[in-house]
Amino acid sequence: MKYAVFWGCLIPLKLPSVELATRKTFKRLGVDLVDLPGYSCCPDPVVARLMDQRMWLTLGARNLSLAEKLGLDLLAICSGCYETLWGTMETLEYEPEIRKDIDMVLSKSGRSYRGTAKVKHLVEALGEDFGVEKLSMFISRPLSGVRVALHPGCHLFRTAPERDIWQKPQLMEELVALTGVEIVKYGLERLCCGFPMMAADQKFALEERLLPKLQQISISGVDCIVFVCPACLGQFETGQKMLKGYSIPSLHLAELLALAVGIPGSELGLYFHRSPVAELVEKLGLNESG
Amino acid sequence: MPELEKLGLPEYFEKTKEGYLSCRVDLQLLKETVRTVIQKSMSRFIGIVALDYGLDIELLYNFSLNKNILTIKTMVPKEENKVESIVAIVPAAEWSEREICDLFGIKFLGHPNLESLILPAGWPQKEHPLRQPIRGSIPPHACSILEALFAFGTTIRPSSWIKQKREEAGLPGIPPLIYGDERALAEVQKLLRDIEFDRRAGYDWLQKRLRGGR
Repeated sequence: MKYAVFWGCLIPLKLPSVELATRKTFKRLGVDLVDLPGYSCCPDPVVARLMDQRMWLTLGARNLSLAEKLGLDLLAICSGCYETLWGTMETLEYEPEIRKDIDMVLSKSGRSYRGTAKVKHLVEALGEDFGVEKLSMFISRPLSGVRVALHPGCHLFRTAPERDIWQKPQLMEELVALTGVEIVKYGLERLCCGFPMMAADQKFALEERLLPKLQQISISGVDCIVFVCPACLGQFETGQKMLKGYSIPSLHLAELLALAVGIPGSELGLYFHRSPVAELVEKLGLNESG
Repeated sequence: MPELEKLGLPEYFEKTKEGYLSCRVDLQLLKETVRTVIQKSMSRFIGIVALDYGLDIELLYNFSLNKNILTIKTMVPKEENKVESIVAIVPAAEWSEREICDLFGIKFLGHPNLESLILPAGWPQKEHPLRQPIRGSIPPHACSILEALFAFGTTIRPSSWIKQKREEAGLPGIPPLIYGDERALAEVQKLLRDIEFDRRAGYDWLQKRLRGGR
């Protein structure tokens, strides 16, 4: 198995621990990841798309064309990038007039978009392409006794009209369960983290979106929260500091899996986190090889 | 287009719909274009329309030509706020230019008498009732993100701290994105120009910032 990987902006520049965990875990699984040379901002699927759809599609199509050139499917580790790349692919497939326009724009720069590269979310690549059963054989250090809350994030529910919107969130849950942790339901899993509203109305984003989630998660008494979206993860880490009184370790699925397949926590650069993930890993004794 | 030739119009005019012909020209070429139209066709001046788009004011120079409406369009950036007068070529434009100067504050260079035409006596000189403050379409909170996209191809610029920390963690200091790849960055910037997103957003490539401030 081999993918071109789309790291996005947030992961390499704000949360390189997620990049490290993904690289190391995929290496252990024997899956090749090829960096996508010269990729740009995806661009983001909320603000950029609403601001100027033509710009959003043009840059999205260029990024897809880079993967096509490598002859590989494109793996998105960030849910926001996934939505942009997948949304671009969908739009260009079903809107011939728009496709014609974007083709014309790209051709001026010597590029073309053919629609041959599929876009895969991390949970699809691991849960479907690689397979949950096969992955279970690599779990050398089950994290039993660890209680986790899940935050799937809004983008994970985006899918083709004929597909089940719960398909990817359920895959996420299966992958998390595979690590041996106990998943604790807190009732507000689907509520937005508030990240897209932060710049427009910070008070609303923090107090009406993030805070109710943190309150419920705190009551449920979990050890940590697991994410697949770096923007949501960042919102929880920064938001907990801004709201004060909360300090729940927040980590990405790739990091949880890395720990469960036996990669030492000390090799994951967990100090990039703004929540006490490194402390939790230390407390659980996961800094050595498993 | 044979129709244009028949009317004595240059080939850069387009038929937008039946009875309507138009072209868009740079500000510097406006006067020459008007001169060409007047000299080579039987056009008659109708008037000038001004539209405030926030960052720029669009001027539509309308002429009548053999049952067609002919429009020459140009954009005046509000920071420049001036355009050459066409009165020397089209004397009938004198009042149109004065009216636009009153209402939108645009200066028509070379106008023989750019005095107030329709505002009441005693109206404050720097107030123009149809002119909006200079303002782009990008919401203030999105400006810095967009400026980074134009300048670096990403919405976040790698800091020296993150480069160092990435290397310490065993990762390449520069992540494998467009930052640092001059060729790829030039390509993305060209795409942004080709789709005229820079114009729509009001990005100033020299100043590396969006026009209109925050």
